[in-house]
Formats: sequence, structure tokens, C-alpha cells
Amino acid sequence: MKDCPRRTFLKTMALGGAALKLGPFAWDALAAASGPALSIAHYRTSPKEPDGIAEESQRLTREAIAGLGGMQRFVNRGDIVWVKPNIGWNRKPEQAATTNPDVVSTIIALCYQAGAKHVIVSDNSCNPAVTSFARSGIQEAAQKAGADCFVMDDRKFKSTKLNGKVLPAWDVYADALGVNKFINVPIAKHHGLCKATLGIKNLMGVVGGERNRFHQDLGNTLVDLAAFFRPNLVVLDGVRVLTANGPTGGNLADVQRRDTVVAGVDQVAVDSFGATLLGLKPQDIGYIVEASNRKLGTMDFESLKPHRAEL
Amino acid sequence: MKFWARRTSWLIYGLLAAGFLSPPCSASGGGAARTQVTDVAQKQLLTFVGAPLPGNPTTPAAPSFYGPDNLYQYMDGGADVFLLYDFQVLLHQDFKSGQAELAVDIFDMGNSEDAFGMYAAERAPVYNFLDVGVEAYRNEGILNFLQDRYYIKLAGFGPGSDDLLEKFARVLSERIGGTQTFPSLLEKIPQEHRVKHSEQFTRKDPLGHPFLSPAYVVSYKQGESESKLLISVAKDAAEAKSKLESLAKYFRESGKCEAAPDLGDGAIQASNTFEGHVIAIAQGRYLIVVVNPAGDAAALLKKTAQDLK
Repeated sequence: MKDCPRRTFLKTMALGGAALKLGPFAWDALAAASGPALSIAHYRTSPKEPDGIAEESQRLTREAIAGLGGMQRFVNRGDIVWVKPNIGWNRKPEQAATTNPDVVSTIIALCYQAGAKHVIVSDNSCNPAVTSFARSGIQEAAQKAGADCFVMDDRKFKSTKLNGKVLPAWDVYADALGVNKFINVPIAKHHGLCKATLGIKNLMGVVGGERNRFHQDLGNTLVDLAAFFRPNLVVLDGVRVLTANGPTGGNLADVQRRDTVVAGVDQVAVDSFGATLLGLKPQDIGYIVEASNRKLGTMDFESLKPHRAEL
Repeated sequence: MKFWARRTSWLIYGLLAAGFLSPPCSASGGGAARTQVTDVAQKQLLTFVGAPLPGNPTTPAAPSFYGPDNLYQYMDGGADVFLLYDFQVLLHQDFKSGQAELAVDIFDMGNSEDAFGMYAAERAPVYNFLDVGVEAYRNEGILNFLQDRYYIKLAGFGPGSDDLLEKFARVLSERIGGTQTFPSLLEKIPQEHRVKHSEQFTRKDPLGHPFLSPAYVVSYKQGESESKLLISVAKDAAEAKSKLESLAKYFRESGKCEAAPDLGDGAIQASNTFEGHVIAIAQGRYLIVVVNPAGDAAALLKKTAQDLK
């Protein structure tokens, strides 16, 4: 027992030292790492009506985050929080190319309940942004929940040192670096090139520049972003999953229900579980393997003994 | 199934390699000739979406165009497959008619074969097909079709948009004109046991092998067993034989391969742990391969060879 304070002190110093070397949100990410690392909430039924799906999405999100100890583990009084959903496409929520707006609005509400001063929601859309923000339902849901949801301003992308393996520096949205909490809220979906878009891939939405160049070495560039951002929390929307013709999608025939929301502090573990929602193994996806090789988290998500809730 | 998973991996490697070699943006590529071609293509595309259109829609914004160098800006990783099929120009135009909103994307793929390849890459046999252009399918909020060298994707939102989608598609189809048939090779090969809407055209590295490029792939089903018929198109008979030799060499090195004279002159049967079993024969300027030969696959191989004579 005597060793405990000393052990805690050494652990804190080690975490602090590591945090100094890491990205903008690393200190909080490390500090929050003292609890369950992964939480999976699944709905036993698959409601068909919009109201039923909305309720399902909200309950799954609340339950998944509760499984980690609640939002207060990640958000403190006075925090300014960046919530990063996928708003990349001119698609309706049913088409499952963008994050479920009810998942996003629930996260915003939980942030405010935990004491957040301000919540910002945005993304660097691929399709025309104004249309995508409206069509996805995210802008309306976010604003109703009290968040500031805006289309990114091209002038605010600033060259930022990432010190990555292949990205020494890149244009990052300056406002996203000016917050003190970052919550990544991707949707799980098929991707023609890298097989799956999950949390790590979703980080492309806070950078600008010629993003096509990322695709020349997608695995390493994505993991450079993941190593830099290290979100405080990742909440993966797996309520509806686009299983083919991603990332654009559009055909409801390609959408399947998985009725799942996953929350975690280990972004590699969240993506590894997310891969299974698409019938893939983590080892099938290059950027997950690369992130694991760089010790950003574990592909063996079961080793984290995830909290599971069946609703 | 392993065969197709491996094919996907090879496709990705090919794409990545192509990415390393391609210029990152339009400023570093192109040139005057390319710009001229693009201008002509853009003008052509604009003629398809001019007024009058069903529902007398308004256009909330000017049309936008994307080329191979900036398609990523519009569709991120979705661009990769389009580039694989030598995508040329995209016209994107939004329309609003009452409460209905429509997004029209017309992809000029340069020729009808690549347009078919791209269209077919996004199509599944289980979709709800209808008779517009060469072929079309629709679902709530979308209608995609193929015609001439164009792949047209329509998305509708709001009340009344689903009705408008089909009306728009028919007007666009009429304006586009041109070729309204599938690639002729697909008409020649056996119809019996063919899985409807399963035909594909692969421009680069079919089954992961550059020497098989380009190729048509069609599914055939007998009972529960499904085979893939692959027809690799060569310049001439000599090149087709060379493709067959490359295939045989690959299987000798990765598994086993032997002559199959009962299937025809020069035919082979081969297997390995990745691709499973194949039977193959060269016929004229075609290399014909049946992957996972099931049911009467020998008859399928022979009939295809006969039909392509």
C-alpha cells in the first residue's frame, strides 16, 4: 500500500512526459485513460419508424458513453469541445454516408450536462458543404442541442507541424486546435479504397489542402493524423451501416442495420470493433494495422474487456 | 471468395502505385490540348442539363466541373474507382422544383466501355432495375443509369423528388442519345445460367494480374454453385496465347497447372490455395477463364469459345 502514492506519482510523471511529446489533446486523453477503454451498446430490436430510430440512437449513445463512466470523465466544467461527425456528403441520414444526427445531438447534450462551456460541430465536407450540413440533418440537430455548427472557412486552415512519418506538416483547421476537448464521431461505412471508413479516417475532416495526396499513402497519412489528434473520446455510429459503394453511397439497398454505438478512448480498438460491423477483420484494414504497429492502440479490442450493453 | 478478396487487394495496390505516379493537382499536369478537350466536354455536358427540364426547376448555384485532378475534392476516396476507369469530366448541378431538390452528376468516362465498367462497378444484381438508357436502377432518393460514354447519377430529396427523378432521367437520356447497348462482347457470350446484372468490365489488373487487363467478368449460377467467367481481351491471337502462358506460369509457380485437352486445343486446368480452381483456353484474341468451375463449367468454357469465334 505504501507504494501506491509513489506509483501514482511515477505514473503521472510518465504520462506527463508522454503527453508533452504527443498531440494537442494528448494530456487529457492520457488522463482519461484510467477507466474502461471501450464500451459497446447494441439494440436488440431494429425499429423501422423514424421516431423509433431516433430514440434508439439516443439511448445507444447515452449507454455507450455511460459504459465508459459517463461524459464527465472526458469533459470538465468550462471546456470548449469540438465534436467531429462525418458531414462529408449530400446524403440523408437513412443513406448512412454521414453520422446519425441523433448520435451527434446526444453527445452535445451530454457535453453540456458535464459542464462544457461551448460545443462546436463541424467537418470539411467533400460534397458542397452548405447542402451537406443541411441534408445530413446534423446542422439542425446540433443547433437545437445548443452547439455552434458551421461550415469551415478556407482561410482558417493553417500549416501545422504534425511531425508524422509521412506528413511533417499539413493544413489543419485552426479552430479545431483552439479547443480543449476533441470528440471524434464517425459513422462506420464501406470505403472503396481502404475498405472501411471509421474513426481514424474521419480525422481527414479537420484538415485541408490537397487531400487527394493522402490517398498516395493512405495508411501512413491517416495514422499521422491519428497520432497528432489523439481524440479524448471516439463515438462510432453503427446504427445504420453503408456496406457497399462507400464512401459516397446513396442507395438504400446498400444500407444495413447494425443497431450499435461504440464509445472508446482507444481509437484503434474502436476502429477494430467497427471493422467487424462491416464483416471485416481489423487486420484487413491497412491504417488500423499501421496504427497498431505504431502503438496508438490495440487491434485486440476484446483484450480491453469492453463494457457491453444490450438494450 | 478468397480469389475476389485478393483481387481487391491487388486493385488497391495498383491504385496506390498509380497515385504515386500521378501529378497531385491540375497545375502540374494537363496542357493546352487537355484543356481544349475538357472545354469541349464541359460544353457538351451543359447541353444535357439546360432548360426546359421537368418541373421547371431553378438552379441554386452554377454548375461545377471536376476533372481527374480534383475529383477527390468532390468525392474523396470514391474518386479512386472512377480514375481507374479513366474518368474525364464530371458535371455537378443542383436543381430545385417546389419542395423537391435534385442533384445531378454526369460523369463523362471517355468511352462507352469505361462508362459501362464504372456503372457496373457500383451495381449489384439485387437492385431495382428499370428501362432508361442502356440500363438503370433506382431506389428511394436515387436513380443511376448508363448511356453512351456517360454514367449519370441522380439523387433526389424532399417531397415529389422520386417522381421527378425518373422524369429527369428520361429527358437526360433523350438528350444524350448515342450508344444505348451493352458492350457487344456481352451479347455474344452464353445467356444460359447467367446471373442477370452481374456483368463487370475491369480495366486494370483483373483478379490481381496485370496481364489479364482488360477483362469482362460475368457470374454464372447452377443450383447453389456460382462460377465466374472472365474474358481477357488481347490485341490479337498471339497476345491471347501469351496471356494464357502467363496464367499457366503463375499457377505452376503458386500451385499446379496441367494441360486439359478435353476442354479444347491448348486449354489448361489449374489450382492454388489463393484462387482455387480455374480452367482456361485462348480463342482468337480472347483468353477465356472460368474461376471456381462449378456445374457444367466445361460446357460454359467451350460454348464461350465457340461464341467468340
